[in-house]
Amino acid sequence: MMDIEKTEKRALLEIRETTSKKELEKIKKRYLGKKGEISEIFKFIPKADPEERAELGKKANRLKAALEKELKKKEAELKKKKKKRRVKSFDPTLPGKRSVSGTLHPITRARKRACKIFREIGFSVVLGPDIESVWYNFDALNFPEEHPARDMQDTLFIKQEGNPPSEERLLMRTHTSPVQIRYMEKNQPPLKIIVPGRVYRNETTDATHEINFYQLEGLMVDKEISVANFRAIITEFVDRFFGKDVEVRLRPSFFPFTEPSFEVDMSCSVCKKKGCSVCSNTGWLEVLGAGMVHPNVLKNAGLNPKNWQGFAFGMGFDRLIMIKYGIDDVRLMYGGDLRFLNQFRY
Amino acid sequence: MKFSYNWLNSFFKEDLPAPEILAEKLMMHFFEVEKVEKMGDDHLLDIDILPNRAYDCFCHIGVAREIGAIFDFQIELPDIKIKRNSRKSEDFVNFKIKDKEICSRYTLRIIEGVSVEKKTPKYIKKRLKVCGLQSVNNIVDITNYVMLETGQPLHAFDGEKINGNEIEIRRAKKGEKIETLDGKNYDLDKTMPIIADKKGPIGIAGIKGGSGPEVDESTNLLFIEAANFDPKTIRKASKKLKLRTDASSRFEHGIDPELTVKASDRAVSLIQKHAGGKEAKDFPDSYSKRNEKKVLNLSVEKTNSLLGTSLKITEIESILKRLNFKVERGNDIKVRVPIFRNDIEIEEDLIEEVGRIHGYENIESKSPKVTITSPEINSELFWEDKVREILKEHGYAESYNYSFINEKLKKIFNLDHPVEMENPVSKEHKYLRPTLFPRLLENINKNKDLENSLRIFEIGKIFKGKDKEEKKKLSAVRNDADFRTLKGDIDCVLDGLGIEKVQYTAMNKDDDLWTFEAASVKLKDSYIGKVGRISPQILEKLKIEEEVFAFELDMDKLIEAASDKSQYKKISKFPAAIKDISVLVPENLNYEEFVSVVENAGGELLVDVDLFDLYQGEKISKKKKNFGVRLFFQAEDRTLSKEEINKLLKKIISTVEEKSGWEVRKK
Repeated sequence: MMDIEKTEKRALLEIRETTSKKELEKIKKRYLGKKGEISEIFKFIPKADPEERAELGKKANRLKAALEKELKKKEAELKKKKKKRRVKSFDPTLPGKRSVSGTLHPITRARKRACKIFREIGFSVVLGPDIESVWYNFDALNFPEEHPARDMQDTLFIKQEGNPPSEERLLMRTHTSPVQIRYMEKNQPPLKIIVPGRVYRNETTDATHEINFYQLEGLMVDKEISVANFRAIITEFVDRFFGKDVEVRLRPSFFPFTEPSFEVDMSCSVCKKKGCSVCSNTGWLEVLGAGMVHPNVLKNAGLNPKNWQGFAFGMGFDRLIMIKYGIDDVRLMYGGDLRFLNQFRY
Repeated sequence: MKFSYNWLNSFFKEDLPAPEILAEKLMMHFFEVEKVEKMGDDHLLDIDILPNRAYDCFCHIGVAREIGAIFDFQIELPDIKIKRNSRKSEDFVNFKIKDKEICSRYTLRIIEGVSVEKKTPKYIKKRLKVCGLQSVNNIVDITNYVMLETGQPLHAFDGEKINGNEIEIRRAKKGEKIETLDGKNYDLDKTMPIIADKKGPIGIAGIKGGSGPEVDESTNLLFIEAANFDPKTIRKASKKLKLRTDASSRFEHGIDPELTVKASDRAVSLIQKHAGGKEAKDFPDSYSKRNEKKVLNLSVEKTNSLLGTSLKITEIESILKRLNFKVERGNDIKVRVPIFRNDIEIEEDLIEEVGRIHGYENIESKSPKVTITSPEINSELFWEDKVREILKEHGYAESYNYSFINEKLKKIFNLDHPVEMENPVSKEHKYLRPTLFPRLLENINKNKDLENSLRIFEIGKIFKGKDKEEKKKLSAVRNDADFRTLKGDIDCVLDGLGIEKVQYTAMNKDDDLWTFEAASVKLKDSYIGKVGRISPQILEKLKIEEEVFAFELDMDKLIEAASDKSQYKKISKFPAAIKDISVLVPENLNYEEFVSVVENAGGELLVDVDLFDLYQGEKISKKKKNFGVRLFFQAEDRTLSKEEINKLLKKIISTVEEKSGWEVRKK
């Protein structure tokens, strides 16, 4: 029967031209499967003319055998090929092909990290406006009027029409501390907040000074909050932020809005107090200013200082990040240079 | 402020520890010592005296008192010996304080028969040098020396050069001028405090002396002025004149009025010792406003509660006594504040004194005993950070730019009335940014040689209008995309914020910032921003050659609309059938209009329509474009039959073809 020879030719060709195992399986099914072409032939044999039956049977068996043989051969070949697919040389040091991925700014990354640490010890994150009034930025924070203490923070004022009263003059906030007042006005203690945000100074820029930079402010007010408590909280933060055991020391300082006030240093994370260029050979790095909230500040925000006490702190966030990543020029933070930004990929 | 180690040492019988050790101790109990430097046989200590202690510690005696308290040493002040003659001060001069607001105390010392010489005693010269002052002559050197020792600025002038033997302290009259000791001329106004004689100003009070009565080698009759001027008046005048001096900075911070006599006593005594002369038998001293003596109560319990310590009453008293406070025991401690400590006003001020002398390093960490409250999530930051993550995933780098722009950018972007700074740091930072684009596009320019594909975004505040309103914006720029890519990026952001849909409306014409290939974006009919191609004119001015596509969205409105209530939609068990059709439509037809026709015809079994081909060009008529869309048919409860699908497809095709100018090409 011509059909059988045609089928054989076609099947063998298909098998030979196959390059994949999957395709070979399909061919096998098509010809040798339960409903395959060869099964159909065998099913047809009993219905055929009696003289042809024997011949047909022989041919069909031969076809089946030929296909099986060819299939086996091809299977072996494909298996061998798979094993054989070898590159002549293999170099794992060639650069990887990455898919495109972006980066988050180091300030974003560090801010998220800091907020997470403080959240875990119970602090809520609060934000405030960048444009502030003299009242919130200075007066309410117990800065005496016309006093050199205001010169500690070179202030950028906004050009305004008319002649607003002095406490309503607008300026770019010089610190995140106004948010302390804004928050205490609206919330009753116990209070535990941190405030990340951009602040502004009228300063000539250089490697350590910027006209805008970031601060992280903290405030905790309750019945019996002490310097000892502050030390515990800030040590916890610095330890977790820098991911190692660092020492913290407090030394006297002055801020109009805290009393007592202190400066907080941490042991240099680079040299471990041995002295290096990062800590100017002192073994210590100044990281933040802090103190116990001045009773006048509580009063100005509508709280009774007889009932409440607490601590506040503010850290220059850029500086903290510079220490953490070893960045030597703060201006890189605001320059939009991808050679810098792309270093904070993962 | 600069201090001489030897000088500080001279107030004590005991030897002070070595300069470096002293510096360390001062830092832990007083203020930071910024520098210790050997200078000859002395050491310079540069101590950062903060404004609250300027009143009593802008001088060696003040710092010596602190050292005494830290080490529990007694401080000894130099002896004073004054020789007098029999003449009355009024024979030489009369003075009047015409404006008491300017000057609360004025003390004038009159010494006859001094000999002014270039030669100054060596120890004075050396100590002045450590403190950064040059030697002038014996008289000027001694007045400077006493200022550095006591904190009281002194002014010496030649009594014979005073016109009319009269001195007034008053505010300047309009049009009055003065030439100061350094030969510079200043125009004075009615707010400025002056010292004047019959003819006019002879000194700007508290700031600088005039050249008129200058002391020189011919001087015989010497006047030494020791006054207490009003801090605010001095501060304002010094700012206005742009003239800051050692004296003005001290007066600005305030000075103990008790000092005028103490300091001038010391000066007269030193002058007589080193330049001779005798003082008149009396000296004029007008003292109008004395400081009140302060008595405060200090509670031991409050002290320990605020510091977190358990100090005994005796320990607290001992610390206060070392600091020259007088203490009396009652229920609390009754504390008399020494007159020179104007910074001590309330109980907390005393607690700080106890804390710092006790030493903050001796206060151990203690976990706070507090009410447990769970922190609130800040939704603004939560959503902002989500957007940041999404854009990062899509290859964007996050940039933080200055909040300021300059005149040039204002002009290029044609920005109306941006918020202006009254005292900008420089021209570069004259205005607050009313949009994030100018600096972001500068970022593109800065990085253009670095990478072919630039994607940069920023989330930040912008400032606008008369009300100085501040808003948070999300802006992104990229040079490797087209409109649809940017729109896709916005879609991803919206997905992350759980915002279902926004509407895009073509702007239809170029404007200052955008080409016509841009659209405004609306969220529930409220405008939230723009997306599209930035005008090549602007890019050219910024020296950017490639096309830039960008978007700026109102972050505040996005946050307001954001929601994390995503709902699970059941996945159908039954397969979807896919059919492609290709439709020729008029070129000005919006895709959204086209799809809504298809979707309406398809009904709810048509679950999705995807645009896979958009063609406009030679192969079809000029005013046409071709949409190739893939249709997904699916039911939730059964496998759709061939008949059902074909019926739906036919319905869609016939509906589409009913529209004039629409033609289905491939089915």
